[in-house]
Amino acid sequence: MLELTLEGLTKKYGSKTAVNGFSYTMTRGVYGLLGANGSGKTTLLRMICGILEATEGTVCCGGMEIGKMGAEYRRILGYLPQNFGYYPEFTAKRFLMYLAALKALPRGEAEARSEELLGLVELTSVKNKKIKTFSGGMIRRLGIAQALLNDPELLVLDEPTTGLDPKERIRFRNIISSLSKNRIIILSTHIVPDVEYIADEILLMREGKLLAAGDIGNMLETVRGKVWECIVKPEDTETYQARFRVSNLRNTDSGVRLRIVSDFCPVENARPGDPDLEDVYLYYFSEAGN
Amino acid sequence: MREHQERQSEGAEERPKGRNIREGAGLTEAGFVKKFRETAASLSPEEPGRTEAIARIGLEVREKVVHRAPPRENLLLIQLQYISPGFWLLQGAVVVMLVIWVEKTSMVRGGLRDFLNWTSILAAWMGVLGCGDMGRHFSRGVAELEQSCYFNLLQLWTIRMILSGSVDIVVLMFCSVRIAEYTVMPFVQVSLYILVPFVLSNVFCLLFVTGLRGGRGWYGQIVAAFVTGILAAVQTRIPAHFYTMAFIWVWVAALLAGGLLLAWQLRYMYEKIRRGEVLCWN
Repeated sequence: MLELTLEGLTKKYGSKTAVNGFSYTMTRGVYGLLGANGSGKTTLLRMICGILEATEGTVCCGGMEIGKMGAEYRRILGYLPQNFGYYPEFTAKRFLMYLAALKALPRGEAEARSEELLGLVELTSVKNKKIKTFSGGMIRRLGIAQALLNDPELLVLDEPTTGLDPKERIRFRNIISSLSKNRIIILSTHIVPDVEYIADEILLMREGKLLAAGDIGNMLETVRGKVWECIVKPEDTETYQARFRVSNLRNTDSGVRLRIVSDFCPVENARPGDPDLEDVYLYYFSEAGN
Repeated sequence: MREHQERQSEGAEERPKGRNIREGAGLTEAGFVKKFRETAASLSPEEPGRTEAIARIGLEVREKVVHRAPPRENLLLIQLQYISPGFWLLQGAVVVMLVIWVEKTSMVRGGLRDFLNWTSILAAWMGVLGCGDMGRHFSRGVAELEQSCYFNLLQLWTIRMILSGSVDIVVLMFCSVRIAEYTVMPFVQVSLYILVPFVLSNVFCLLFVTGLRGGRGWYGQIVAAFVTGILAAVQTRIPAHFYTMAFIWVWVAALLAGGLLLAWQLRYMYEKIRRGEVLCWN
C-alpha cells in the first residue's frame, strides 16, 4: 500500500524557517492542507514533490527516501504548482502532449489521455487554441488536467481552485472525489469549503508547523461547545467583533445575529451551535478580535 | 500437518547449518546442488497455505502497475519536437548569414579580419540564442512543473545544451575550415578567433539569464544579443598584431578562461536547480 511519510521536515531560508519539523504519515485518501497565506504550505508541497531540498528531515514513499527513488518517484507523481507555468504559444493539446512526453507516456497513450482529460475539464472545444488566449479559470483547469496525465498515485495540488468560478469549483471537487480511491491526494488551500466536502483528513498548518490533524469529525469535535450563536444590538456589533472571533454576522429584524467561536459563552442569551470546518479554521488561525 | 512439522524439525536437527552444509559434508558445488534439490523435493508444501500465498502474490501482481523505463533517447526526440519554431528559425537565419558572409568575403578576397568582422558577431549571437532559449523555462514559470516530471528540468537542460551546442560548434568549425582555406592560415588559429566570442557570449548570457529575472524573456535576449554583438565587434577592432602567432597564447587563455567559467556557471546552476531554489523564482 502506498504510504508517504514526512519525518521532521524543515526548510529554512536564511534565518527564516518556512517549514518547521513537519511530521506526518499519509496513506490512501484526500488530505486537505489548510493554512493562512505564508504558513509554509507551498514550501511543504515543493519538498513533498522533490522540487525543493529540505534543510532537515526526509520524505519517504513506501519506506524509501524520495531522493533515492528519483525518476521512479516522479513517475507516480502528479503536481499542480500554485503558480502554474505554461508556454503561451502552445495550444492546450500540444502542451498536454509535451508534458505527457516528459512524464514518459507512450505517444498513443498520451494522445488518448490528453483527449480524455481535456474532456474532463471541459476544454475540448478550445484544445487547438493557444493558451495565451485562455482565461484564468481555463488555465487552471488545464493545470488540473496536466496533473492527472500519468494517472498519478500521488497527486499534489497547490491552491487548485484559485481562479475557478463556483460551478467549476464544484466540478473540481467532484473530480477529486472520484479520483480519491487508491491514491494519495494532497490538496492545499486557504479556502475551507474546498476541502470540507472531500477531504478524508485535514491538516492545519501555521507558521510552518503542523498545528492539528485528523478527520473532519474529530476536528469538529475539538471545537464543539465553542461555537455560539446570539443576537445582539446593532450598536454592540463592533464591540463583539473586537472581543471575539466572529465567524458570521447577519442583520435580522430582531437585531444582529452573530456566530462566535469562543472558549466561553460570550453573552448571556447565546446558545451553542453546531461547529463547521470554518469555525475550526477560525478557532485555530484567528486571534480574538481579528 | 503435524507430521509435516515433525519431519521439518527432524530434518533441522540432522542438517548442519549455513555454509557448513557443504564444508561438513565435503560436497562439491554440483554435489551440494544435487543434494539440495533432493532434500527440497522431499518437502511437500502445506496445501492451504500454498494456495493462500499464491492468491496473495497474484493479487499483489495484479495491483502492481508495471512500467517500462523509457529510453533516454526519448529526451532528444522530445526536445527536437517541442523546441519553439522561433528558435530554429533564428538559429537557421544566423547560420545562413554566416555562410553568406564567409562566401561573400571569399569572393572579394578579403583578409582574416574581414572574415571575422561579422563571423565573430554571429558566433556571439549563436551563443545568445542557445543560452537564451534555456532561460525560457524560467521566464514562463514552467521550470517547477518540468522538474516534477519523469524527465526533469536537469535532463532537459543537458540535452538542450548538447543539442544546440554541438550544432553551433559544427557550424562554427565549418566556417573556420572555409576561412582557413581562403586565408591560408592554420585551422586551429582561425577556430580560436571564432570560438572565443562564442564561449564568452555563452558565459555572459548564462550570467544574464540566471542572475537577472528580466534577462529570461525575449527582451532579455535582445539586450544580451546587443551587448555581446558590440563586444564581438570591438574584438575585431583590436590591433592587427593580436591576430598573429605571437599572441596566440592570449586567445588560448581567453578560451580556457571562458570555458572554465562556463563550466563553473553550469555546475552552479545545476546545483541550484537540484536544490530547487532557482525554481522558486517563478
